[in-house]
Amino acid sequence: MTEIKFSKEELIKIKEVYQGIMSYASIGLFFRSGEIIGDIIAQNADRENYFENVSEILKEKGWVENIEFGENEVKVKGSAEVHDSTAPTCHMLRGIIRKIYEKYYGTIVNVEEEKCESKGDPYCLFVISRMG
Amino acid sequence: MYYALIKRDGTYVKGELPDYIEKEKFCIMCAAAFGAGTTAHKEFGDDVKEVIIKGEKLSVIIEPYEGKLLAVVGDREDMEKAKELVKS
Repeated sequence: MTEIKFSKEELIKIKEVYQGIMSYASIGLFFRSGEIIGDIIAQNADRENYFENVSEILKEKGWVENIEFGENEVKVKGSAEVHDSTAPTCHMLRGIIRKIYEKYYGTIVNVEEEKCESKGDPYCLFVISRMG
Repeated sequence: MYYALIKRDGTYVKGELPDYIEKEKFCIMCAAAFGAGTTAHKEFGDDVKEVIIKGEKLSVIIEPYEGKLLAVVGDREDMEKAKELVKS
């Protein structure tokens, strides 16, 4: 598969274009884009060591520097989407995480980013809740 | 009359939409239409009260509602009805 790399700076600038045009709606589009990426990552991950495998893929692809998967929460250091902001910014990663958990649990899950390095928190924290 | 209460990021909250409509997609399109319309209009230094998409048979009206967006497939009267339904 051909892979295209974006630098973090390029990604942030592209996101700024979307945000500048569509305002809050861009958050939903980033989230859905992340879901597409997450779906493919989840499909390709080894089922036996699922979260270890997914973690390696995310690090290798540059989405995170480190990620810890728990039953109901995910801690991330060095998300590619982090930049100075007063609100959480890791919308694509939130979509990726959603699909990773949905594949694992086989049910719909909701993911909220409750802490974000963009706001000055020490790490990004995503809280998972099962809907089904 | 169909309607949907939508978060600003396009997340569906509640409403009544036909089964053949993919809710998630419809809501994000409404949020994107409102966001883009607002940005374009703000170029003239004015705030947006509503975004109307006029079709041959139907119209979609999107307006801000208590920190979210309310999208209605119908007319102004339907918008008022939808507000009542959202409150209940």
